[in-house]
Amino acid sequence: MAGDEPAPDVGTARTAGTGFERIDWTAVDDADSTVPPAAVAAEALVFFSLVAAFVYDYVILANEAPTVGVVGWDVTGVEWLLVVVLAIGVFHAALPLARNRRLTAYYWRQFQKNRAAVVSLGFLGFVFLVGLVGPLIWTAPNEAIDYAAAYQPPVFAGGSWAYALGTDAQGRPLWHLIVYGMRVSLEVGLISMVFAISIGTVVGTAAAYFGGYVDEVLMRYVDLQQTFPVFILLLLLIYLYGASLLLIIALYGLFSWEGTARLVRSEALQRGEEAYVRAAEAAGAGRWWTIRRHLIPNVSSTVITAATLSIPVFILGEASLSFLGFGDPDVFSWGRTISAGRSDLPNAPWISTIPGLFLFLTVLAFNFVGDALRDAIDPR
Amino acid sequence: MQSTHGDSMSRRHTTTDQAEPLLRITDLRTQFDTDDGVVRAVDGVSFEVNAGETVCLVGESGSGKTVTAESITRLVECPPGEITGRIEFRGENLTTASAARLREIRGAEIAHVFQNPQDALNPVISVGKQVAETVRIHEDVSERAARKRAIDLLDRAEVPDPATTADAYPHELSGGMKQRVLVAAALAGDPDLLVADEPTTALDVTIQAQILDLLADLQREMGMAVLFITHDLGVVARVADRVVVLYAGKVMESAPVDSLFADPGHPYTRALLACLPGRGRESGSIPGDLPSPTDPPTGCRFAPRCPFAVEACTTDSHPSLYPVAQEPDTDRDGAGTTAGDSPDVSTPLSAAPLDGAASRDLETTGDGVNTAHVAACIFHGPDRDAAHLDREVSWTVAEPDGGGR
Repeated sequence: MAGDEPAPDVGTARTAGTGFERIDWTAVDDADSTVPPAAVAAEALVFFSLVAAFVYDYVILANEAPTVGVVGWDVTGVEWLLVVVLAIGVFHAALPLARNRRLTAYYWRQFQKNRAAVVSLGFLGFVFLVGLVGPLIWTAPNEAIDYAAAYQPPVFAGGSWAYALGTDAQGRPLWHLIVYGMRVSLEVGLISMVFAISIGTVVGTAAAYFGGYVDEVLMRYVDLQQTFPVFILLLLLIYLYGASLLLIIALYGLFSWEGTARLVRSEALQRGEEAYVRAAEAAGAGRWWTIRRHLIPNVSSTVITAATLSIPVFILGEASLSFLGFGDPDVFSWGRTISAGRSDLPNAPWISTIPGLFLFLTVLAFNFVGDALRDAIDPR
Repeated sequence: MQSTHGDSMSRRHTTTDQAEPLLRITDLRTQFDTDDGVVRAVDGVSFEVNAGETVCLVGESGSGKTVTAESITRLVECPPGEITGRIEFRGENLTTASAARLREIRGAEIAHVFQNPQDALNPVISVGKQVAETVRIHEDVSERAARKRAIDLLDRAEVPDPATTADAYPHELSGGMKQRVLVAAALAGDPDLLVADEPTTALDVTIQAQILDLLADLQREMGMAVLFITHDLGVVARVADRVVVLYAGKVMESAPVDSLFADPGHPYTRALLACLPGRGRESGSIPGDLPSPTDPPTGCRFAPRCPFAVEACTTDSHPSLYPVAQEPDTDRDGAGTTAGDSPDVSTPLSAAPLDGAASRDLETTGDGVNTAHVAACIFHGPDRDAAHLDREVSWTVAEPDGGGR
């Protein structure tokens, strides 16, 4: 009221000379808060301990020693990234959904309308879980080499239950190869997606909101990147530095965000004209506040759809590199297994076709889920 | 008038000599550079808002009401917009204030309620959070303290079951409820001036009345001033203390609400009043269109559409605001009894003598008389005898398709 600046002590400043009741805001109980700071603290703690564990693993621990001794899991660089990505997923997707049950139930009802997407989601959940914990249960394919058991057909083609999906030329059970391939697909898809979507969203929103030269420079770079053959760059770098999964993931993540950026920019340009953005400005909101609180939440449906649809692209990209023999020789990508089975197609077709089927179903499922998500979460 | 200067608007006579007004706008000009030329959306507007009072900005679409309101805290995008003039809020000139200072003022001291509640709420954020937003922008409070305050504000805005509604999303609320939420959000910063830009236009009539009552109650309770923008004279009659009539970016008339309705000083105001759908009479419409914003007519901007216009109205620079004096020989609501002795209206007024003494005399006309009611019309200038307003002109006759309800 009468010209006094808002004082830091909210409780007393508010009441002076106004019609407001005397409420001490600092003393209001914290019973029904919407975002418990506990979650923020937990997230900070998790990421701090992840960094600490990473430093411990790479600086203190001997190179050969497994990081998690109990299960003998030697966490690689890519796996560290996967853990970080999963933690981000827990704190920024799973937790908010669990907290806001009403909205989650609403989304789920919308999503359920698409039956194919529900089945696809179930399949992706299976791939996700098996890819995550499977390598801890089943031995690595290279430790399961058994030439005596080579070319065992899968159980539906007259094989035994000991090798339910059959074995390859070296007697490795195909199931083990599939499980380890799931892990690779998981890593490639999720990590590259998080990279690409983060960069794309930031660039797209910034270009839309700031406009002018910022927009011009960012979008011309996007044009440049779009015309740039990333695949050739990948081949060159693999030739120079040797194939590694980390390199492939990083290159996909860092050089394939241009589509997302364009999508987000056009979406944000529309949203930026909305009355609620002007209303926020009229309430005194600064640029970053407006971007963070109004633009990004409103482009999030576009972003989530783009994210879901970009995962299969990365998985397919890595599979094709491995199929061509440019993949990481230390990981059992589906593409590599498909490639290895080519020469045995006439006598043992399952070696190529079963991983191929998994690859196909995974990519298809992501597309179904992406389409259903777009319909379910669009706020308009 | 031939004797006025282009910028004489800035020397308009102020209202009664009370304390410094809360908001004083002097010669505000907001223009936009477009491909078709410079659009002068607001062209020399001056008015004041005193603490606690309700001022209505009235005018038809495109008259510059909204641009005027959005120029106050520079919500107009600049460029392409350009704002000049003085906007003094508690003595502080906002046209030269820094962007950071303006952000402090927006929401906390000058709040806005926008026209369409459907669009002004973010569809993906719960309404409670949107109300709490203003609090959180201006004060360093925790999210749950802000939420408590939001619920309190929703309650104050007479939203039923505010604690539950705070978690609702805009699509779950009715239009009237959304406007209540927006009112609550505007009050969150405890502003001294509320700029309500057609807050009831998008609502149906019964809800309109509720929102108007709510605004009036809250205004009384919180002692804030309201700058109310509307084209609806029915709303004006209901809420206003004073009225500023805008046409084509210029102030046509400024008056206390009673004298505006009782004794409109400008033909345009009369035209607006004639357009008001009334009981038992036909409502009219004003023939013609708004003048081109890039190339406005010289003289009075309303002159091309004004049935009272005399040649001086169109050939001269725009007349300044003159007090609408309650002179005994003038009875404009009467049957024009005093008009008979006026000279022929077709007499070229530009032939009248013009000297410095006359123009000085004009500027001081208002001293000592009731100048709260001013109009920018030739009829209130020195040649008012030459261009009498007492001619009988029927608005409903002037407009052939004036079929009212």
